[in-house]
Amino acid sequence: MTGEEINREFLLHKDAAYRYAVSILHDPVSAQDATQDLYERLWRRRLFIRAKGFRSLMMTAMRNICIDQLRSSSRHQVEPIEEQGVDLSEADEIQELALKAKQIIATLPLREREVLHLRDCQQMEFSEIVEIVGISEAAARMACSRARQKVKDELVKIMNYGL
Amino acid sequence: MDYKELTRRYLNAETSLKEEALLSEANPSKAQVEQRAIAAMIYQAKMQRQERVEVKIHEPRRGRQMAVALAASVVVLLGIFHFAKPQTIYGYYNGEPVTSLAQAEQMTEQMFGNMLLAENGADDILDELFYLNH
Repeated sequence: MTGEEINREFLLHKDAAYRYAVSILHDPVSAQDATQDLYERLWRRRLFIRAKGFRSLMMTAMRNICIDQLRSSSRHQVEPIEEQGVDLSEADEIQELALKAKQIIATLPLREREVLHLRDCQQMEFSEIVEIVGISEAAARMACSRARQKVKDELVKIMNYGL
Repeated sequence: MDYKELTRRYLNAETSLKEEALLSEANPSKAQVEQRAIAAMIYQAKMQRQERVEVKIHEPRRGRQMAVALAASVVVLLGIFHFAKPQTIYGYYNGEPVTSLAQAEQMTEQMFGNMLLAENGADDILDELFYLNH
């Protein structure tokens, strides 16, 4: 790909890659750095990259960068995600629950979290998810199902018992 | 649409993206606790899709391309100048221009040789005339 092509394709998918990084790293600043790092890597290798399957390549590369960061960082533990700028007193119940859901998702195992993110946030087909995560479609569906079930159960508990 | 069946399949990761889009349009009542939980999950994903990031992008190296194009132009111009350069005419021989330096030199030598011969010939004639006068 030429410099212009890589810029055009990257700008199309950068936000998706960033959100994927946030879902793995739980830190918007680290995710932003990871996105910039991803771009630099892609730019350096642009002559060897083809336009076909660029999104999958980008997401896989982003995953690798994030996993490397998690491994090298001493702070492996998940930090609670702050509720950013939402006035809960005025918010609709679904919005409140959505914030809770975000916190619950942050506590899920990495595999479940990233499959859930790629499916629900990125709206990817399972065939594409398996390319990025490197597991079978059955395993991806299983991870997604487990994640959805866990988040739903926690939200139901909150609604029923106010936990 | 059987909403309950759809939520069951959603939780089992059996729904298609189209069916999941249908689920996002539903507005379950307060009594439908499980459905409301799923609606919240879908809403959370929707909110996350709005997150954006700024990345510093490299400018493609137009300067380098221009330099290559300029160098190529110079080479082409030099070629044109070399091959289309007007030939030097050193003189004319029988009305035809002489463009070869070697040929011009040879002809010049020949011309001066002829002149010398002619000059010597004239001297001889003068000598002869002088001798006759004596």
